[in-house]
Amino acid sequence: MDFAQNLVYGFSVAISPVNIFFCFLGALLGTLIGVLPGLGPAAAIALLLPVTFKIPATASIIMLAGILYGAMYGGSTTSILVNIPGESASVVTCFDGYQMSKKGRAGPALGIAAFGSFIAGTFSTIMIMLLAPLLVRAALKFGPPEFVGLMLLGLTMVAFLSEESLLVALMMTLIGLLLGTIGIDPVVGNQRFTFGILSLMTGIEIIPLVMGIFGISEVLMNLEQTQEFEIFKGKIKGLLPTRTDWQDSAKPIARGTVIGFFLGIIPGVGAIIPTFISYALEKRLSKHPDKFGTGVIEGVAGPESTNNSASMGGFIPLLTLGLPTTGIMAMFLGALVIHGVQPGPLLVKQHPDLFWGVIASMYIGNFMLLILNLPLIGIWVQFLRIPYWILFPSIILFCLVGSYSVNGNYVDIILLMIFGGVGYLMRKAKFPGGPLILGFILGPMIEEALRQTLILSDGEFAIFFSRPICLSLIVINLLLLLSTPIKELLLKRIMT
Amino acid sequence: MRKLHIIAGVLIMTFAGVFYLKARQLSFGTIRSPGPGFVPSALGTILFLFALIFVLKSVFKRSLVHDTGNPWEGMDWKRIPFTLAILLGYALFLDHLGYLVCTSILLGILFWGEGVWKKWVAIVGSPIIAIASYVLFKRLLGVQLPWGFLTFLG
Repeated sequence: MDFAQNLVYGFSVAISPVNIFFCFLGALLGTLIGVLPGLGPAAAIALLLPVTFKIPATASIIMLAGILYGAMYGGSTTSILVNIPGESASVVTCFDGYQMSKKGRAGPALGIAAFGSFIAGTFSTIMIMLLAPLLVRAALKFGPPEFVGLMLLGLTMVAFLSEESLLVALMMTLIGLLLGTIGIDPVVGNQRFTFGILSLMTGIEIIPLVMGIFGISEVLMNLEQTQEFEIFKGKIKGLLPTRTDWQDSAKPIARGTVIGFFLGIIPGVGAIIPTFISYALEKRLSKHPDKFGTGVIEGVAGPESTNNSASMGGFIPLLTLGLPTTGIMAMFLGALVIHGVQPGPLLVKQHPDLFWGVIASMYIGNFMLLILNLPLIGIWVQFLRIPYWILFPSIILFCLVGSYSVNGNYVDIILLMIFGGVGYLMRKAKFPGGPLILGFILGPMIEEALRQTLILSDGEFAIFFSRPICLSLIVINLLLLLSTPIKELLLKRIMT
Repeated sequence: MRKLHIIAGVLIMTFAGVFYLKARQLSFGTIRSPGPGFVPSALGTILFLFALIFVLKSVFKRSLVHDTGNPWEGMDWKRIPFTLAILLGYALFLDHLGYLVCTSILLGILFWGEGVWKKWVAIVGSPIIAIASYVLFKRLLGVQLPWGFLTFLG
């Protein structure tokens, strides 16, 4: 199938009533979550994972993808109107978005954020359609050794690009990998680390783990501090940007879109780092860099386009290589595995409806978001008034039922509570949760591929160095791992 | 923050140690044919070493993570163990008391604790929300929720 055929096929899947409904639901929920401060897309996807049990695989991923890019759209609303980022990728939008709002230009700021996101989303969808088949073709040549190298590279990149120390991120990855070994051994079928608990025989379920680490911990963090939001009282006028606004924003949108998309493909980058890069770039290229931070539209247009395209770029390695590049993408992988779908090079052949349907739905979802975000902006602002005493018990209840629904067993609720407590302490200690989740999900796959490789090679580790692709992946891995201590050593020498 | 890091590092070392010791009880296999204990013992060893380095670096005041001071300063942290204890209680009593009773009690406590504007809202609202959520989860999502001692109603 060529590009046009893929496009038509993808749209034929995406416009089925069920998929359209879940695309809309995802976009709606995502916007709501983006608007509500204190509940990010990671927590929201974790909360909604159990819901996907009852939905077909394609519709599930369409809905979860809608939540992700919907949250990216919605996150800008609170950044612009109340100076509180609805989700972390909208932090940069606060710098100029809020200042624009204070000057009575909330409308153009919201408008350009929505249009910029739409343009970025459209570009990313087209790029996914063009690039994904090429990557799939290359990945079909991969055997177990290459997959070990690739997955290890994914883990290393996520740890390497983590906001905090590499050592801490690697520890989190290892904890995730160890948690992934609990349950039945994938090769010989022995029980491992079940401590006689029957529920652990199938391993720790992903739902209580992600709900605990992302959902419950987020609630607990919000619970210990009283949040006072300044409700936006002014009128939002002029949502459609003027010709001057467009002239000022066109290049930042274009640059942000491209930067975000390509950085989003790299494991570990996520959507936050590219927004900062976009903002810094726009400031450097601007004729009036001193005005950044005082309410210039370029400071909103660039980063808002970037966060949308970056979050969508992450779908390429997931759908083509089965490699999640962030904690959120790891949850997408989890959702696919729950439905018995194995992402990777064979996905496009085995489940073309899912592959092309999800990609086409992103375009439809981005269009829906444009409609949802501009005319209905007044309604979203009202959601900022929801008191936390309603929100917090609702999230807790959702987590409890979600965890219980996996096996109908109270052990999963206890695990939820444990991981919630652990996630809270991790946030306090500034330990990242993404590498842990990624390690947990990729762990069993790496172990299986590693053991298959060793059986294939008759125990010869040399197999990893005799295959060019595998060797290059391992070299990149080592370079990344060694670069930090070498950099530290060099810095020490310079200092002394 | 330093204290928290040292405690966290020691806890991670313990975690890694437990996994390593348990993995040693499993067959390690050979390099040619790795057994179920192969990967966990390797991972446990590496994690233990990393955690040890982390603890030592933290002890010698080389903060690896951006130090923002005491993370609990000015925070109402007592609500955290309280909330986790409620969740544990919920898990332990769910099968005996059933979803409706357990959820009503849980929501009542959470609404009350979160400062609902009128206390009667917590008392009356909680069972209503519990019933509504039961219908939502059972009917829409097909989740099997326990009736507990109210089985005769189910």
